[in-house]
Amino acid sequence: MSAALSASLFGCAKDLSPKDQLQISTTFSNYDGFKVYAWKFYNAFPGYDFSVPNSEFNSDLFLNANPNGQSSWISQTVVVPSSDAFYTNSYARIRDVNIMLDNIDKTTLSDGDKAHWRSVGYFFRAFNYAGLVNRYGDVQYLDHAPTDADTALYMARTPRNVVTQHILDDLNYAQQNIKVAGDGANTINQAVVQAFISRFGLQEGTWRKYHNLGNAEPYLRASTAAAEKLMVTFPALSANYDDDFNSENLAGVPGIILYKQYVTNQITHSLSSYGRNSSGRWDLTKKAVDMYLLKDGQSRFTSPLFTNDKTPNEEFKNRDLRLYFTVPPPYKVNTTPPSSVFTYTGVPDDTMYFGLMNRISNAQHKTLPTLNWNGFVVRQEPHYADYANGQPYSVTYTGYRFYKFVDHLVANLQNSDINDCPIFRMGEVLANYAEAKFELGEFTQAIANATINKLRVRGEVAALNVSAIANDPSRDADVDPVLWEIRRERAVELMGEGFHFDDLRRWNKMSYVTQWKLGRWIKKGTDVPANSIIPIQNGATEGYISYEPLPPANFPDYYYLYPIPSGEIALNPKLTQNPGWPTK
Amino acid sequence: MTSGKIIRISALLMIMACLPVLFFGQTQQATVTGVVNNEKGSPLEGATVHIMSGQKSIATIGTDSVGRFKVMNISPGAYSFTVSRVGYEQQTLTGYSLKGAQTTSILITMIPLANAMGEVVVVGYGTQKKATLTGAVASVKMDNVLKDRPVTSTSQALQGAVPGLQITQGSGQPGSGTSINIRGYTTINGSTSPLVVVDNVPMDIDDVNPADIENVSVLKDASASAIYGGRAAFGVIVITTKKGAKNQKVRFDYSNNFAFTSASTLPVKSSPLQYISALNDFGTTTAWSGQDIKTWLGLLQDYQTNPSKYPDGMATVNSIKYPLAQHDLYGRLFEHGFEQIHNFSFSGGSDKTTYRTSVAYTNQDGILTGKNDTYKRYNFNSNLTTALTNSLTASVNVFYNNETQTTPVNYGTIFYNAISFGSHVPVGYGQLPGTNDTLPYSTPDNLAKIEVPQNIQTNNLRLFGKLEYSPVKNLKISGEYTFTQANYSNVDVRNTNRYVNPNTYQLDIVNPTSSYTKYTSATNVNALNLYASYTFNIANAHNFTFLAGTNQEQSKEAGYSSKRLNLLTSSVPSLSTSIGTPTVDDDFNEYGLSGYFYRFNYSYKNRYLLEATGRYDGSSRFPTNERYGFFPGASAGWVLTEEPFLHRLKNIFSLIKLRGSYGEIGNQVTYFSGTTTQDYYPAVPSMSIVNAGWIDPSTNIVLTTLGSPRLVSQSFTWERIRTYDLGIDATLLKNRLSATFDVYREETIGMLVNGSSLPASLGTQPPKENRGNLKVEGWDMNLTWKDNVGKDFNYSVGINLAGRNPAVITKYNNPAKLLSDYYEGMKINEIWGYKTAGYFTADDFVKGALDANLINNKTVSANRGLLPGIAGFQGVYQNPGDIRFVDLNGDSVISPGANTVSNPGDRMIIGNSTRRMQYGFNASASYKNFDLSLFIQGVGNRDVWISNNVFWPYTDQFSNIYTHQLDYWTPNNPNAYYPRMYANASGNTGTSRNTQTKYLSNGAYLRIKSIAVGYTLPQKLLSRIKVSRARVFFSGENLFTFDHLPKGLDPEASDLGSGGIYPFLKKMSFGVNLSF
Repeated sequence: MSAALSASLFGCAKDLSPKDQLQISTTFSNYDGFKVYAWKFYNAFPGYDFSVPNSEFNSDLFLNANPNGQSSWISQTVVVPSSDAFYTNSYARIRDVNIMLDNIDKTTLSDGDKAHWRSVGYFFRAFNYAGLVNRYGDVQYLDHAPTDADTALYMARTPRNVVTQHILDDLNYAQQNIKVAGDGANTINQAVVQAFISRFGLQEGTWRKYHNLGNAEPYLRASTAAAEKLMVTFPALSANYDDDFNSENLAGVPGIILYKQYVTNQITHSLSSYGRNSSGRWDLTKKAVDMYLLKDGQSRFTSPLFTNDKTPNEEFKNRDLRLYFTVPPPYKVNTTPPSSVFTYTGVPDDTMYFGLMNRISNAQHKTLPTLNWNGFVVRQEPHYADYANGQPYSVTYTGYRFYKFVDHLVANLQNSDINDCPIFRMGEVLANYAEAKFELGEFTQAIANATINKLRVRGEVAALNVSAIANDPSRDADVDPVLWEIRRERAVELMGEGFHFDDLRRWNKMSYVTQWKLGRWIKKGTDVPANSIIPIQNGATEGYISYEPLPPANFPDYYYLYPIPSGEIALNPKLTQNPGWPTK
Repeated sequence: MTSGKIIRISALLMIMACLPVLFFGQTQQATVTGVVNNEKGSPLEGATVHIMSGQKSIATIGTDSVGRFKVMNISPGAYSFTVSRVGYEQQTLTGYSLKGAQTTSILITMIPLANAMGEVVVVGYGTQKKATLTGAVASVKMDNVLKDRPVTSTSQALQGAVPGLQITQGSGQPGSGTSINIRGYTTINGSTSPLVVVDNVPMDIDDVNPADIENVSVLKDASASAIYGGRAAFGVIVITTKKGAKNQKVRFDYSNNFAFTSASTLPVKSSPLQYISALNDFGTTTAWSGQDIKTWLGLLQDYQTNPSKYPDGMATVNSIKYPLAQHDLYGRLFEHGFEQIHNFSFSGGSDKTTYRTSVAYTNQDGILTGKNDTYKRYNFNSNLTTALTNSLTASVNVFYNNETQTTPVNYGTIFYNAISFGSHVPVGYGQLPGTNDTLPYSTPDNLAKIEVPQNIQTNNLRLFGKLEYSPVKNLKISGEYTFTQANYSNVDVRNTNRYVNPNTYQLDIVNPTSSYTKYTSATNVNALNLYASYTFNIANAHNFTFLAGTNQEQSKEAGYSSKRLNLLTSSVPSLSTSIGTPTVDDDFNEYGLSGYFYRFNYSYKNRYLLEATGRYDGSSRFPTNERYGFFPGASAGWVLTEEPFLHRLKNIFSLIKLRGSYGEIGNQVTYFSGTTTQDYYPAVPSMSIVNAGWIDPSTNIVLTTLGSPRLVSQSFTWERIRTYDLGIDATLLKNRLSATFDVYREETIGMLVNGSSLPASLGTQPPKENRGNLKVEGWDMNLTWKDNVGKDFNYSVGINLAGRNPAVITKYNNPAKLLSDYYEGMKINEIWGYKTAGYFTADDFVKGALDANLINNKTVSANRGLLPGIAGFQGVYQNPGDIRFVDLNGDSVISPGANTVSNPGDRMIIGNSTRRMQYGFNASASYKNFDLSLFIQGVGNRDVWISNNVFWPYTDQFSNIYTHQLDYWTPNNPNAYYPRMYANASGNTGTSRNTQTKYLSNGAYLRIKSIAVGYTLPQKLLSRIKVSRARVFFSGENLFTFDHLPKGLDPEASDLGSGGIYPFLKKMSFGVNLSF
């Protein structure tokens, strides 16, 4: 009896459940529950994460200014990993989305609200699958949240065309059914869906075309159709290119479709600080800088405005303004490090670009001289890592230091940056549209004016005249001159935003990375001390800086797809490795 | 044993004054009354008194609860008395002549047995005689373990004292905890801490003041611990606290202990010259702080010969500062600490009531510089037991403790800076360049002193009430109710402070945004125990004991946290005096447990012993239908020395007992994977509230979202821990030698784990289910020798050893045998690594691959510049001086393969970090009033892989070099200990530091835990000042450690980041013990 009494007093038989957590039934019971749940989907957007500019190291336009920083894709030393966070995290996010989708019909929401949440779910599912397809090609496609006993876990990889058709179908549904204005400012809405269709359609369409998979057109058409709608909704770009990347609040900035907001003490990033301290080691290559046109719309190889690249000052004259927002213009000042004060050297050449930067930028953005994270004046740009003059921060190997995401200084607040990150912006959509139209054989001067030439305005570069394109000797002979200019514009507009490696892959042009990555022209004894260890191409004392060895000559075809993690194959023998990768 | 000898060490006999007697008719019989006391004068209940006439026993009687006995109607004559009691030496008093019509009173003082075998051992819900115990139970008296050591926590005091009880401590920080494990019992489902019960109720072991503890029993096998059910899966530590004794006049005890503390080990930094020379050797051209290495080296060399040229220890070249003088950064961070402990108690009792009340105060100032590293504790403990009626006894216990710990907030930064800053870094204060501000350098010692410490307060209140009812003889019914409330509060104040960075001389702001954070939580536990025991015997040969009862428990915890940014002033920090946006959060945890248990003991003439236990246990953590489990245990023993054929050898064999046990017990506690955070609702697919990575643009505040609901199985239940134990207890050579030896096997069946590796397309962890088994095998033993030489010299020596094999996974669903998960046949804690062949030499490369400095091999070829047949690391351009690994699989490239057992690449199992042999050794001796004791503890067999800045030189461009790291490879030092290092620690530095045989450390150590000497003041002196006992002592703690690691590392210390440890404390202490 006493036992029974005590059991009723204390009762472990009661079903206890957590008081500070929700469950599926309590979450998907009303509109707000869906809304709260869906915020987690936004983690799919990396924002200003290091991984974004880091991916550029695998392309021909960036160099990792660290000893032995050579990309394993370029040096062909990629190792099949046993597990891969991108693979695992993508499926985890897909599961989160599928859980919501699996529960929509169990709720009493209105049909319209159900369609809206289905659209949000479809958008994010498509976004995550698109990432997987881009890396791995065929991937297991699951449209529901599986249990651990689900045999679908052990199925073979779903063919690429099936997965991409699902992605397109999901995106089309979302475009038609999502609330036009989403769930308020800066949320997934119709325009965001269209922006992603523009990106994905181009990506998949060109991949199919250049990898000979066929059926490219529906994807390119979807891309152009979505872009056309956006070009109506977002007719204008921000006047200043730098505003797109270094605004403390991107709300209301023209041409910004979706952005990741950063706020002090809430969510911050470090990308801006890394451009000011010793950790940011993203350098543009000589090739990347050469892509920036001169004011007359011609490249340095044909433009009469180009004098030479033997000195930084000469090389930077009359260039696309976007260059000055991407690589600090050259200068020299006197300063006693560490110090936030400087004096002019009195040599006019040393401050040649101060006036230009004063005109195109302001104290809220980029200023000269450049400052380190602590506000100390950097004595000179280019500022070489191996000739740092007692200033070990803001250094470069190639002489072209990447500072596109460097915000105006917030003194002493290192690694707590708050400039917002654009996720979808019209700059990209216009580049997507121009390229997709060309690939469809529908590129005209009018389209050039609506796309390329709108982008060029921000660089104060003369418009592209489709019928009068100078013969760029650096052009890949296999690429149509018009397409060459479209791709150039894309590379310049999107420099460092994590697109170029994927672009080379979908164009089947990874052969570009087998070229030597070079830096500025320097002369030992003049630009740097005669005994400087800065390596120059072919061991010369004057020439282009060359830190990395010449990569292996042929880029292997199988490197176009990432290897499937070996652990996944061990767990599911039906997963086959992408051809060419070691399977043992 | 001769009777003379017994007498020598034995009784005080007194014949009291004859009392007036009454005459009743013709009866002229005699009466005997007596009191049996222990050696301290406290009465002994349950002693057996035989009244012997010659060899014949004419009467037998037990003493009552106040130690008295009385026998009437004895014929006059000559008698002797034989008195026996468990735990005491049998005594025979001879030569009594009893006269008719008279009462003779005798006082008998019993001497405790010189060995542990006679002890009464506390077991679940009762006590048993050690001599008839059949489970694997080790028991120690706390006073014997603690002695006068300057130890503030119970768990630290027990380290090394009990075979098979593994207590590890990760830090010497005041108030830091320990982790406890019994016999290596394990599960792969989180923590394996034993249950600690204090006077029948679970409690944190370190909440008990060690000085209040009477006895500690460690129940090592499931047959013994099963009765505690649900939380006892990994063994039980049963603690009983000191109580007063009946009929004892009030007694006051006071003791104190004052200790001066210092670090047991600190790493030794290289000199500035050594450091910069090394960087130069590595090819670093510019220090991360901007100095040109060649210039710096020249200045340092000049400084060695002309130090007076640099009066402030600093040079400036090209406007860059070059620090040249050497400073002792570590020595400034760690100074001497001071500790004091005070214990005061009073105790006593009347014939119905006993009482004991104690208060204690502990105050430790740690060895980190400044006053921000402290621990303070107050303990209060009061017991009152009183007999309400002849059959009803009531007890009340009030227990309270209050702890305050302060810890520097930026611990990680402090240790990182202490480890990574070079000895050239200036100390003290410096001028902020370009200003007139003199600010502290952000050196570790300044950070430790200036920043506001985190303040953690805990207090525990425990109220305990017990009624014990004995309606008939041998039946005891007990009811116990305990209420425990534990409060925790943590206040974290971050001020915005300005420093000068001592490397770059820039402004260094700690906490750009000031904040005030407070977290409080309260846990309420209600526990009820109801149990009854009944003992009887048949024909004085068959002894039976039954115990049955129930245990009900419920715990509720609620936590609340609040934070507000932007303090108005650093001098009055609070939520109210901050002006930023406040944020709040709460958390709740609950569980309930319900158990029904029994124990049955049978013994035949104390010769054949049997015990059976069982518990039916329910836990709220499991799904409704899987909530209860039944866990049985059984054990048996055979006391050989009770067999008549061995009686002749009593002088050699006092006791030999063989015993064996089998038991099962359940585990209900699971943890969130990879954490030590308990999962109270593993059956509920709940979604926690978390911050999203997205901001609401209308408020500029981060949005709230939900975590992912986990997959939950509805068919998971208790994980079962099954133990088998075979043991022998022996007491030899007239109790001088006692020994215990056990072999055991533990199997953990149906471990509650995610259970299998599933394809990533699942998108989450598999549900927790009862998948996976493992087993542990081992042995432990204890040997004690105790003797005396002459009257004045007593000594004892004890050793305990515990050996065990690493746990083996016997069942697990990982058919692919991925090394990233558990797999069948895996030994827990195994270390996979490469086999080191040596260094690459220039001869391994094709001609022209290397430059004049034997570096810069960047040859684009299939074998990356290595000669055919020479295997380099995959994806790496090797250079001479890099570690060359053995190409175990013969594929001409070194790689981790597919990371499976069948294809581990060129790796193999190179070691195991399980502590495979642990030992403790203690010795004590006393001569007249002097006593001396020694305690050693250690681990005999263990491998550890250490990869931090104190082991490896120059882990990155920001790290320092220690003196033991100066033997590194260069072309001129090709046989160095450490491989080639590269500029900024880049290049192949990391490849050479893969886990491998050459740099696997031996984790064995021997620590002299304690050496103590004491002197007891002569009684003559004391009696004049009404003091009954006074003793002074000196002791040293952690004075020496012998290990295989470089200075500054300790095999047991936990890494606080980058190899920084809070070293264990060397203590020199003294104090006094007083009783009056």
